[in-house]
Amino acid sequence: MINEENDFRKLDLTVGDVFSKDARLKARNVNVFYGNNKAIDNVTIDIGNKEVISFIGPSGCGKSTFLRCFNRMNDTIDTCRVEGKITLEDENIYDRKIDVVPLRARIGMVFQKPNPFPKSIYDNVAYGPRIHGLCENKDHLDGIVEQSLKRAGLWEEVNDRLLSAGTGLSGGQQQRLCIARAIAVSPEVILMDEPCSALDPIATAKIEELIHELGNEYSIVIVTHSMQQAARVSKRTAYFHLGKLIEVGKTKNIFTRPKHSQTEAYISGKIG
Amino acid sequence: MFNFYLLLLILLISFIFFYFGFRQAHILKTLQNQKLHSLFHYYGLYVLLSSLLPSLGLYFVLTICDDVVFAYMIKIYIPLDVLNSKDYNFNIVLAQIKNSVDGLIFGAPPQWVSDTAEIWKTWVFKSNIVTFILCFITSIISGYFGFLKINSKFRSRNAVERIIMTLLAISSVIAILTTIAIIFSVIFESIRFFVLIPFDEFLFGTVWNPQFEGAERAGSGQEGLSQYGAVPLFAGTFLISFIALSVSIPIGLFSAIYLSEYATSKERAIFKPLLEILAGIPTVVYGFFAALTVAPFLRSSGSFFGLDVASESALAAGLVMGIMIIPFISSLSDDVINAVPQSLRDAGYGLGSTKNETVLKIVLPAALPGVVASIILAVSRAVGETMIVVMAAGLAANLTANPLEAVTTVTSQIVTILVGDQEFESAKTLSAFALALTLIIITLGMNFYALHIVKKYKEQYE
Amino acid sequence: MNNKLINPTRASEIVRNSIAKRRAKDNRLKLYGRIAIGFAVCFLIFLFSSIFIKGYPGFFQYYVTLDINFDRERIDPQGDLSDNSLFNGEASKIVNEALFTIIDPKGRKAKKQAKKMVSSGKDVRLTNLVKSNPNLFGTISSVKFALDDDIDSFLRGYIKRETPESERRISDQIIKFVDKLDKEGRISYEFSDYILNGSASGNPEMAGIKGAFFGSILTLSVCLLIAFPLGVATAVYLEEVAKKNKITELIEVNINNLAAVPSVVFGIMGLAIFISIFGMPRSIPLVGGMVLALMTLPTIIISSRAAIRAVPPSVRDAAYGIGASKLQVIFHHVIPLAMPGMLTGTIIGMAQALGETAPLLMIGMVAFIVDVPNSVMDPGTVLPVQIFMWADFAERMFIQKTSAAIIILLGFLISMNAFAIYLRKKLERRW
Repeated sequence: MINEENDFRKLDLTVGDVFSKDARLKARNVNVFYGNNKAIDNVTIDIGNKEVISFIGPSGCGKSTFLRCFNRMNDTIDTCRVEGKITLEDENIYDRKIDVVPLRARIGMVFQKPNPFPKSIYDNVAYGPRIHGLCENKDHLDGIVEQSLKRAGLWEEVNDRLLSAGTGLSGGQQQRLCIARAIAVSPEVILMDEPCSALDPIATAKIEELIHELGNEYSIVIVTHSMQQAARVSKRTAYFHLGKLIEVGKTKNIFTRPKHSQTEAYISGKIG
Repeated sequence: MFNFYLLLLILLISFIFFYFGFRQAHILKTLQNQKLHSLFHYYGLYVLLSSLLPSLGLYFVLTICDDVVFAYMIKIYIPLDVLNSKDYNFNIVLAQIKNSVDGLIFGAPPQWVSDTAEIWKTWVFKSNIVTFILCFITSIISGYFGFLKINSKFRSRNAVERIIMTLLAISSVIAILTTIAIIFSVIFESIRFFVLIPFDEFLFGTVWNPQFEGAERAGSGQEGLSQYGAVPLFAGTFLISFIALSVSIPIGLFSAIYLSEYATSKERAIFKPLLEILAGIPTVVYGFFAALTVAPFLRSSGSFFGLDVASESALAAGLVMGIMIIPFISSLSDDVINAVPQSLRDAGYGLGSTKNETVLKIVLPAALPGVVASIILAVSRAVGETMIVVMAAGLAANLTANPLEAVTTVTSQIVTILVGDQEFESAKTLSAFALALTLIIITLGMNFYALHIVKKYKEQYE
Repeated sequence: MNNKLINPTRASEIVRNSIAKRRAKDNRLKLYGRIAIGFAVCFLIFLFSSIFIKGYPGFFQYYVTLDINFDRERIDPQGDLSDNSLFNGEASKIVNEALFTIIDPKGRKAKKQAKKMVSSGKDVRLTNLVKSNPNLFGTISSVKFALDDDIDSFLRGYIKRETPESERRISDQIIKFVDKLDKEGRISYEFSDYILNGSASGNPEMAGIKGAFFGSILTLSVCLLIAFPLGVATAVYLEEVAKKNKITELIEVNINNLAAVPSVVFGIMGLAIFISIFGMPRSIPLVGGMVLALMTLPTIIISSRAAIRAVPPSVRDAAYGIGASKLQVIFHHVIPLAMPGMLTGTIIGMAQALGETAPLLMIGMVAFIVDVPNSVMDPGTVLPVQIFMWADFAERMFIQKTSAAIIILLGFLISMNAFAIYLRKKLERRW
């Protein structure tokens, strides 16, 4: 641990507790380029086991880009290039040997806009277990679907119409359906990219509650533009600015006693 | 030449009026110091249009109408014995006279034909003079009336804009007129055909053997020599389209999938235009290639395997047509696949799908209506394709499902019947129009359906 | 909680175990895609190379060089170089005599055969020569004449010496003559001056595309003059002026349907409406151009509408904001900005029209016309129809000429499309 710290702590900027004792994901000196533009500059951070951590920062600061590094969603963008090292259980996920498919099965993702497949609710949730071959038989699959929907807090609302279209649900329900879909694959980490930005306050409250509960089972990384949300759902918070990770720490500390002047400026509404 | 000079004159007059209108506005403003509503050139333009449009309209009406009117007037000049003869047909007589007028004389036409042609020629001369005078006078008078309207209160810009808006609206109606013209051009002849040949015989008859014969005319009681059962043609069309689609659907779809999901942007930039070249090659070139390269190749390789391949086989035409249709399927499917929102793909990848699973289980099902529509459009393209089948599929109306034999199609029969000399009013000529009618109904129906699907599909993602 | 969800470690194990199979499937689909594209591209290459290989020799043909005695008395008996005088002259005979002095045929039959060795256009060639250069009179100069197409095919090796005489299109006697000419070095293989300057002809060695080429130009001009203004006007009306109502919807449906009507149907319409009802003559570029204009109209309208739609509303708002009228906004701002897109669509539509055959067959542009059309009212034919007609002829040499004509047609099409792409790249604005 100490060694590692010596290796990587050449960080001129980041203040606070970058490292975590029980780390699930470790990002070390990550740089992301779009063509020649550097979108993420030398970011090092740990994601703890069963912890909810939020990434905050002004729009365009690269928090979403960085989030998408964890399950290599940036691969789908041709011009995007990632340098540095991100490890999941001491395996570099950017290693050539690593296949993104099992990686993404382990690290689920929920997107900004609810994006259910144009299929039934049941098929939406069953999609993941089906493609990965996680279910032994129909009963088992039914069980997985039910359990996932229950965990996503959607079961009560939809159990009588599992075969109707997922796109017919309300925005908040759709987003919870997407969370259920991610849970069904039994991931270890769930990445959430501004999951509530397209939702109304009531739906947002439900999702936040859900995130809070899920935090007991999974490691959750949530990108949000709302400081209140970060304060409500997460134990740790990381503040990004212009592609740099400025400060990481306990959420309470970040919002009450920020160490870095930029963080303080953002918290108090001077940058935004 | 007459037409050209007349049009030039009308144009010249209207430009002169432009000058007058412009000058008048100028005079009003500078000499009489009146406040004008619009800029000078709008006054000129107004006078120009008011001179040009009526005379131009009159010119087109007159030139189009005179032939029609002459055709009615000439009837009284046809000798009685010709009128009363048994095989009298006005259209044939009219064609004879017109040919004589145009100076196309085949053999020695009867004296009365040359005489009526002379009469016709004098009418043409007279009508030219009348047209000339009428158009000339109209352009001057209407231009003058336009000129009189100019005063300080006249809103010439609004008037000009109204006229131009109307012109725009009229030109947009051309599309409707064309459709009406297409339907009208086949419907009457088709009805006449169905008077001669019963509708069910045409639709369900299995022998297609049209012949030009005097005895074939209705009423002579000798029908039965030639037969107009269109089933072999439909079957041939279907067979060739089927072969074409079984080439183009897999190739087109796999190409579309590859290009939209797997290819790098560089590959896309190279191969997409390359595939589209296939759609830009004239069909006559495909026909030539099918007839002179593919057909002999199939024939010789068929005989190598002990198969007897006809020198004009459905297979050769179908294969080449299939290649021609590839881009229709690939680019249309590519479009609809690309219209599937990226967020759905992201959802798939986020759950750990391979590309294969994302494409086959998420993207294609979502894009299915669009893909189906593109296939329907391709079918309609195949059914309506003419030159390849004319050149490579032959004219033998065989009722067969064997792709190695020669078949014929609806379009190639239309071409063979209507190209070259025709006998007016014969069932054979009319049959081409009936075939065209069925062709239009089939292709338009498919197109309607396909566009309907696409519309619904697009609404889903908007 | 009765947890039916698999625990993550187990799940990731299952996924890892099945991944090879799934990757293989993935690669298979990728491979199918590559095969499909590869097939299409290979076919394209095959088509082009096959036509090029067949057509390239079509630009060349075999000539024989003869020493012609330009005797004015015999070629131009009236001495005024008039057509009548030259027609009455003995040009053909002079060429034959020049040929006979070299190959020296014995007997009437041999002479008769020998006369056919030189293309039947020899007299016209000779008279044209003296017309353009009267100084030749009184001299003995060597002139190149095209050889008959059968001899041409023989020299190319399509007609084989080994074939028995009875199955061959040329006799042993003629082969002997050809050998003799060849030995004296009088046979040459040169760029054909007929393919580009000749017109429709039943003699393949004299056939050329000039008439069809000018026919195509005239037809396309008519088509452009009608389709472009109409197409742009319709697009402007539908996008900028018309309110959305039943009529505009009907127009839109009509346009989309017209785009799918088989081209041969447009030909039938031309036949029934323009020729039968309006009484216009058959085979003329005017009618051909009108039919093609109606056929390309949907293409132009659709692309013009797309171009107009791409002009951002802010431009219109800006113009309206300073008090421009609707028409001024359209003509001063929208149309100029949308012009590149409109032109691109128009060029693509014109390329379509240039390659179109079937509708022109319907209106009789398939007639055998030797003269080059001078106006849109003269009977004429067009390149694709010429190709169609040549493809039907039996003579071997027509295959080369057809392929050569196809090369020329494809050349035009490709350059038109390339120009359209260039225009789009060059002038297209990204908003």
